[in-house]
This record gives sequence, structure tokens and C-alpha cells, in this order.
Amino acid sequence: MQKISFVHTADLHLGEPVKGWKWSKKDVWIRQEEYLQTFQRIITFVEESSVPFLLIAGDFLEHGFVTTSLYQYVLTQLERIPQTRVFISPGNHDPYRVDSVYQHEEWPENVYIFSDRWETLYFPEYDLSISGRGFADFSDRESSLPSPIHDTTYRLYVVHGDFKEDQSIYFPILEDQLMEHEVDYVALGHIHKRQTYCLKNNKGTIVHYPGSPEARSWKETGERFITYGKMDEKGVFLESIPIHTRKYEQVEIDISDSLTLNRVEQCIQAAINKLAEDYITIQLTGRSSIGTDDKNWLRKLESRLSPIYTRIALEDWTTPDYDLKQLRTQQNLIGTFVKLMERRIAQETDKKRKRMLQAALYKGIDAMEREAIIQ
Amino acid sequence: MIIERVHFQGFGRFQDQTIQFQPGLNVIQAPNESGKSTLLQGIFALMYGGVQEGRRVRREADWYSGYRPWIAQQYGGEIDYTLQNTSYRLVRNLIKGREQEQLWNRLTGEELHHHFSFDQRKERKIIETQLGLSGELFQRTAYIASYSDTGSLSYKQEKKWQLKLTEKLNSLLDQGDEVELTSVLGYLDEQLNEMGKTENAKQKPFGMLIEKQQKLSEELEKEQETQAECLQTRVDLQKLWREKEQLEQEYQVLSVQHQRISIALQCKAEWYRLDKINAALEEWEVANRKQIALQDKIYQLEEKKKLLEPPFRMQMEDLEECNGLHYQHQTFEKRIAQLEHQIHEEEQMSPPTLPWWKPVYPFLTYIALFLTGSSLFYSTILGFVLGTTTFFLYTVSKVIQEWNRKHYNQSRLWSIQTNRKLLEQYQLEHKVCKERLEWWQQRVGTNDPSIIRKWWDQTQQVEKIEWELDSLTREQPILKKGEGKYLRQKWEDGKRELITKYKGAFCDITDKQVDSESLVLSRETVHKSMQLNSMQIGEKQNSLQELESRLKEIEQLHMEWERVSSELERVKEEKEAIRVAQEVLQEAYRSRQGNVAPILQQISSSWIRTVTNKRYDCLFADFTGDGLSARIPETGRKEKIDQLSTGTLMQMVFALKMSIVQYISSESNQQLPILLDDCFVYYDSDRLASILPLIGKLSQTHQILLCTCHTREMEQLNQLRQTYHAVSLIS
Repeated sequence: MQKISFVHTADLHLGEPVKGWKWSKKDVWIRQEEYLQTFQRIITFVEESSVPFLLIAGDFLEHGFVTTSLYQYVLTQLERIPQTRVFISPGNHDPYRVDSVYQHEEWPENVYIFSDRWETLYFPEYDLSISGRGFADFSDRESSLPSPIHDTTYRLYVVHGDFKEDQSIYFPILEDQLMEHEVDYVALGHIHKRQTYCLKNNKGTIVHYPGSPEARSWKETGERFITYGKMDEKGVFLESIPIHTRKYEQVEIDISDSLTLNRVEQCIQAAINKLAEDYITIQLTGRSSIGTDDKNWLRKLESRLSPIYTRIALEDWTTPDYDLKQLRTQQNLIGTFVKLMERRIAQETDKKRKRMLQAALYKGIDAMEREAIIQ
Repeated sequence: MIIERVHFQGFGRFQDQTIQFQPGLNVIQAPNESGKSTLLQGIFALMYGGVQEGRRVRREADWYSGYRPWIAQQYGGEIDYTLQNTSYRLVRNLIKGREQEQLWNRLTGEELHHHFSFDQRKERKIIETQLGLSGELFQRTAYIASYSDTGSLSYKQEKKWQLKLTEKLNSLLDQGDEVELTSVLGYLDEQLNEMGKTENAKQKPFGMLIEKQQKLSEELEKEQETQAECLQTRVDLQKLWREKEQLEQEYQVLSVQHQRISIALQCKAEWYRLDKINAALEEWEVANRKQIALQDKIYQLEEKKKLLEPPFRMQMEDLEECNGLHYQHQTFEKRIAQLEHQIHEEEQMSPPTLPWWKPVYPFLTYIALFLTGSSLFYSTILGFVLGTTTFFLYTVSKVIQEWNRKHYNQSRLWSIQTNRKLLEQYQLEHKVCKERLEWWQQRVGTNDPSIIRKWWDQTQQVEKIEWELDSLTREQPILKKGEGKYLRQKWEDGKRELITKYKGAFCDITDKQVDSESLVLSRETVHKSMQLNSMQIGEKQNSLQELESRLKEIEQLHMEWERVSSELERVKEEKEAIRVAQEVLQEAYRSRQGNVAPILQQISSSWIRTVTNKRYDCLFADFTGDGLSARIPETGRKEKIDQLSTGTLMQMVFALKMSIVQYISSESNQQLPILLDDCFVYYDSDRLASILPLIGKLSQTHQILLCTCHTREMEQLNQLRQTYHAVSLIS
């Protein structure tokens, strides 16, 4: 039996307005262009690798944002791989609605778009069945799976949904139910973070999210991949193929010891030397009094760095240069305040709220300092 | 701290004026509007400057403009004081923009202000640092103004003020320094205010962001309609494309059909033209055959004509003339003979005559004679009558006969004459006839009427043939030379060409199919539909293009919304941080409150007992929000401060302030000067008498500057034999 290879991707969100853009609004088209380039790169990979199956597990084309030019672009790309069968399972961002491009536009013959009901296609040359379904609308609470097929050697599911999230409104996929299906590979989409599960059934079903191939937000930092899978009697083997056009990177730099702007600049340059091509957010942390002395220090830094790093955004996460250790030992109001605040911060589990409490701590100290408390 | 001297270069009414003070109690007694309050405000101004405290931006103090000299160029002065056995001179320029403070050691002349570095507002906090007390706190504790000024304070404000003092005391007790929770909270509150506490503050960042976010959300919501419209347009456009495809197919089919029919029609038309040529050819052939036939016939007729042609063509007139001449000739011959005979006879002939006796009418006459004879037998008359009648009958007829005979002779003579004349005429005419007949003979060789008749008959026949020939000639078609050949050639060529061109395309076109009119009509309908469809597609494409360009705007809107939302999130977080900071500060403050009450009680109790004439002995600060309460020593019951009379309350406040001054001084080892500005004006004599000893006692440790418009304070001090220094405002 020959090996079956496939490429699995999802969550391209082509056409969706760019999120978390920190630079000039007029330059946002560059990012949109990069998303298209990534898709083009996926197609090129499929073409060069002569992969027979391309699985796109939803959130491919952002509903309501597909322009004629975008559709034409996608069409042109898909037409480049006539030998590859492309399976698209519409997701919550591109549901299989009457007004969706999937229904009202023409698609090449090699492209199969799953409707809102489970459909199974059989490929005798591989003895492979591919089942898939799409979202009918922007949410779908009803969990379902296709009728189990046992008379094919290889079985593959393509679907967009939330695995192990029983209460999800985005098509919950229940592990127990899936386990019984003895599927070789479940190609999922929806979660932008790359993750793989192996079910403890006879087949050792692999459930896999390839993650978004190009970062859609600042949560999606680092390299982005598509999954190149190979399937034979020994099992399914997955390979991560870096595909991003440009990464989002978030770098935390402690500038506690950097007393001057020049020193901070050097620190930043040292930290992001290898990331010049990426979108970088630099979170400046540590205790620093630069901000108190010069309110425009971040802008100055940005203007110093921008000739080399065009896509850099600086965030001031520094804390005022207070010696909390010393302050908390004081037997006075400020000591009590610091202790109380630190207790609250320690108890807080939510990261965002923790950050707020941190800010509250310094707000309080700052206010007391202003009242000439700290000498 | 002992204030020894103040010199005003310009401050309110004081122009270049120096006032000296002594340690202990200094009483400045002067009538109203003489400058007591100005003096104390001036001392405060020289100590702390003219700028508001607690502001990030420099701003003049509330009193600043009120004491600025109108005329003098200078605003400020110098103050000499001793602090921890060191004599200082602080010179201060209060003019806005040129604020300056200089500090010297009066003994050594050393400039000391450099030791005090600038703060964020470029101010040197000299007194603040030396005393460890901010101007505001000094003003609130050691500078007690007349209650005529504070009398306007609302009860609530007063309570708040008292609470602040208690807090201050608490902070001081805590860390020996100036910590004022209310101002810290106030500062944080101010920050909250700057951001905007509620979304209703539209001019503040929070309100602005909320409003902007709402506006953007609304715009996005509107743009969602655009999105929906865009989707619908795409669906419609797709339908139109499909419709176009169908129409094009239909048109194609119709066009093919139309083309086929057109070819067929063209073929038919060409065939028709060719057919005409053929018809012409056929016509020509018929005409040709006819012409040949006619020519045969003409030839025969001409032959016949030749045979029938007489020597002379005779006409009916000729024949009639010849016949007439012969007849006349014969007739005249007969008549001449007759006439000659007649003349001869007439000339021979005489008229008949009757004998006299023979009646003309014998029968009648014999009848009449018989009758007369008979009648004579019957009657004579009758016989006579009859006899007469018979006579008449006889005579009359005899007479008439005679007359006739004569007449006859005459007529016979006339007839002979006439006949002779006629004979002459006949003879003449006969001669003419004869001559004419001779002419005929000479002309045609005969004057035989039978020959003439024969010739006439022949002439008739020849003329008939000629007529026939003429009509045949007229009947003969006009055929151009070579036309037949030309037509045949054209027909042959055309036929060959047509067959080659259409290859039998016209063969399968039936009449039914060749309903080109309805075909053209349906083709036109489809074409019109196509035009309409193209127009609709154009319109839809335009609107789609427009909508898609608006989709780009949505992206911008999304980004703007995202930016505003994150900014709002940040502001909310900051607000929450401030709120939490306030909450935790209060919590920290409450957790430390246990230390406050006992110390406050201890310090203030003697003052409270004195100012309230031992009615209350202790003051309790309650930090749960109920404010202060005072204890009645006899019962131990606590009375809330708002239940006390205004007089008592004022006394309590005074007592509290004195306690604080004492406490601050003892804790910081800085004996603060106390500035009292007409603060006993509402005290009755008993209360004044009870408080002055305490003031006297306090003046042993603190310099007190007591301003009053009354003389009773000095009088009572004199009565109590308390030492004091009277200070005059007139230098």
C-alpha cells in the first residue's frame, strides 16, 4: 500500500481585518499582503511536494470580507495544484451560508467544500475515506460525528471545532465519541496554537491542530507552521513546515540596570538582533526611573530604532524605581500598603488582573511619594 | 522655630516694612483692616512661597493675587528665624515667573539654599525640609485663622477638616512625618478625575474613549450592513452571471439557427436570382422558337402573296367604276335608242278624236237618257231635270275632252323637245363613258369587268396576306444578339457557384423552420435581455466595487476600534488600579488606626478639658465614617461631635490643633510657631480666661503670634500676669 501524504492547515482568515497592528494605518495593506503570500507559499509547498491532499480545516476566508480580488487570488492559487484534491471544511469565520463564497462562487474541480452535514468521500486508489463537515453559521453547539466507516484502511476527518471543550459553541468534539471511530487522523482547525493529541484507541487516532500559518494576533508569536502528514500501515507521521511570511515576536527586556537611553537602546539591539525581519513588540521591564525623568523616552527610543527595525513597537512595562523590599519592612502606612498589595498580587491568578494590581501598588506608592512620604 | 523678624519689600499693605518678634507670646493688637491678617499671611508666604502645593503644574496660591502690591515693583521680602540654634535669613521673591528663594546663615553669611535641590516644579522646599512640614499642614495646624473666616464653612466641611487633622495626627504618629491619607486619596481621586470618573464626563479621556468606542461600534454596526449588502450583491452578481451564461447560450443557439437560416435565405435569394436567369433563359428560348415559327409562316405567306399578286391591284372603286361604265354605256345606248324611237313615235303619233255624238261616257249617258225618257213618262219636270242633267253630263265631258286633246298635243310637242334635249345629253354622256372605257383599256389593257373583278379578288387576298404578314412581323419577339448564350452561360456558372458555396445548406431548410421573423424577434428579445443583464452586471459590479472599497474602510474602522478599545482597556485598568490603590490605602490606614486614638486622647485631653470647662475630657476618632466623638467624663458616654454646640466645637478644634502642634513639635523636635488670627473673637470672657493660661503655658515652648482686634486679650493677660510682647504694626 502506498504512503498517503497530505498537507493540513487551517485558520488563515484571509480577508479578515488585521488585528493588533501597531504601526501606521496606511501600511496595514503590507500585512494583508503577507497573509496572501503565506497562502501562496502553502500552495507552492503542495505543488512542489506533489501532495495529493490539501486539508483546510476552516476559517479559511473571512466571511463578509472576501472581495472579488481576494476570491480571484485564491482561485488562481488553487488552480495551480490541479492534481491535488483540496478539502475545505468551513469554520465559524467562514460558515457554509447561502451568502458565502463557498456557495455562490465557482470553485475549481479539484476543490471540495464540505457542506454543513457530514460527508464522506472514498478514494479507492488509496483505500482512504475522507469525512468532513462545515459550520452552517457563526456558531454550532451540536456535537456530531459521521457514521463510522470500518471498511476502509485509512480514515481521515477534516473539521473545524473545539476538541475536548464539551460546552463550546464552536462545534464541540467529544473525545469519548471520537475514540470509538478508529480514525487515523483528525484534521482540526479553530485553535490557533499548534497542538496534537493521541487518542488511546486501537488506531491511536491523532487529533491535530496545525495552528494558524501566519500570526493573526500578538498571542501567536514565533514561527507558524503547516502540517505535512504521511500515513501508512505503520501510522501517521507529522512534520511541521515553517510557512509564515513574517513572525510576531514579543521580547521582554529588563532595563533595571540601564540608566541611560543609550544603554537601553544597546540592550534592545542586542536582544532583537536576529529578529530584524519580524514584527517585534518589546516589553521593557524592570525598575527604571527613565520614565520619570523623561516622559518622551519611549518615542525617542522608537525614533532611534526605527531606521533599522521598521516594525518595532515598544511597551513600557517598567516599574518606578522603588525599593519594595525596603518599603515593605517599614512600620508605617506605606509598609502596610505595600504588604497588603503584595498579598493581593500573590493571591491573584489572572495575569491581567495581576498586572493591574501591580499598577495599583505603584500608583499608591507614587501618590504617597508625592505627598513627600518617601524621603 | 522662632521668627525674629520679617521684612516686607512688598506684600499687601506692607511696603518696605520690618516687624520684629520675640520668643514666647507676641500679641499684635490693632483694629480691623490694619493688616494683622496680612502680617500672618505674609509670614506664611515668606516661609512657604506663593505657589500652590500638591499640583503637578505650578499654580499661584489662592491668596497670591490678593496680596500683590499694586504700586510696588517688588512682591516678597525676608524672614529671619532661628531653628535648632541656627539663625537663618530666608529671602523670597514672590513675583510670578521670577520666583526665587535664598537662604543664608545669618551668623556666617553662608548661602544655604544650594543645599536644597529643586523638585519637579523647580522649587526648593526649604522650610518644608527644615520643619518637615508642608505649607498646607502648617496652615492647617499652626496657623489658626479667625472663625469669622471659617464661620462660613459648612458643617460637613468642618467635619471633614477635623477628620483630616486626625488623619494627619495618625500619620505623624505612624512615621513621624507628613502623611495625609485624604490628600493621598485626593491625589488619586484627582487622577481618577483627570481620566474621568464616569463615562458622562465627555471631555475626559475615559468618557471620550467610551464615546469614541460607542461611535465606532455604531459605525461598525452600520458597516456590517454594508458587509451584508456586499454579500447580497455578490450573490446577485453571481446570479446575473449565470443568467448571462444562459442568455449567451440561448443567443448562441438562436444565432446558429439564425445564421443557418440566414445562409439558407441568402442561398434561396441567390437561387431565386439564378432562377430568374433561368426563367429569362427559358423565356428567351420560347421567344426564339416563336420567332423561328413566325419566320416560317412569313415566308409561306410571302410565297403565297407572290402567287396571288394580280397585274394590277384593283380596289372596289375600280371595280365599281368599270362595272358602272359598262352599265352606263349600255344604259345610254338603250336610252338613246329608246328616245330616238320615242321621238319618232311621238312625232308620228296624233291625238284620238270622238265623233260628236259619241259621248264621252256612253254608259252613263245612256243610263241618263234612259232615265230621262223614263221620267218623261212619269213626269215632265222630272224628265226635264233629268234631261238637263244628261245634257250636262254629255256636254261637260265633251268640253273636258276637247280641252284634254288640245293639252295633249301641246304636251307631246314639249315631250318631243325634251326628249331631243335628253337624247343629246345621253349621247354626250355615252361618249364620255366610251372614252373612259377606252382609257381603262389603254391603262390596264382591259376594261372587262370580269377581269377587273378577278384582279380585285386577288388584290383582296394579297392584302389579307400582307396584313397577316404585318401582324406576324409585329408579333415577332425582339431578341438581342447573343442574349441566349449569355443567359445560358450565366445560369450554368451561377448554378455551379451556388452549389459550391452552400454545399447543399439549403437543402434541409423547411418552410416551417424558415420562420426567420419570429426567430429574429426571439433573438432580439434575448439580445435585449442580454443588454439588460450586462447593464445590471455593470451596475452590480460598480456597486460591489464601491462596497468592497468600503470593506477596506471597515478594516480601518476595526483597527481604530481596536486601538480605542485597547486604550479604553488601559484607562479602565488604570482606573481600577487607582481604585484598588485607594481601597488598599484605606485598608492599610484602618489597620493602623488602633494606635491613633490613645495618643490623640492623651495629648488633647488637657486641652479638651480646659476649652470645654471640663465638660468633655476625651476625643475619639472613629474611622468607620462616623467622625469624631467626645466623652463626657462623669458618665463616660460618648457624644458625637456634630451634637456639640458651635462654640464647643470651635473650642474642640482649637484644642485639637494645639494638640497636633504640640505633638508634631515634640515628634520632630521643631517647636513650631503658632499663628493665631483673631481666633478668640467668639470666645466669651470665661472661655477666654480659661484658655489664655494654656496659651501662656504653650508660649513657653512655642512662639505664638496672637493677632486680635480687641484689647481684652491683653487686659486679661495683664490680669493673669502673663508675660507677652506687644508688637506694633507701625514700624
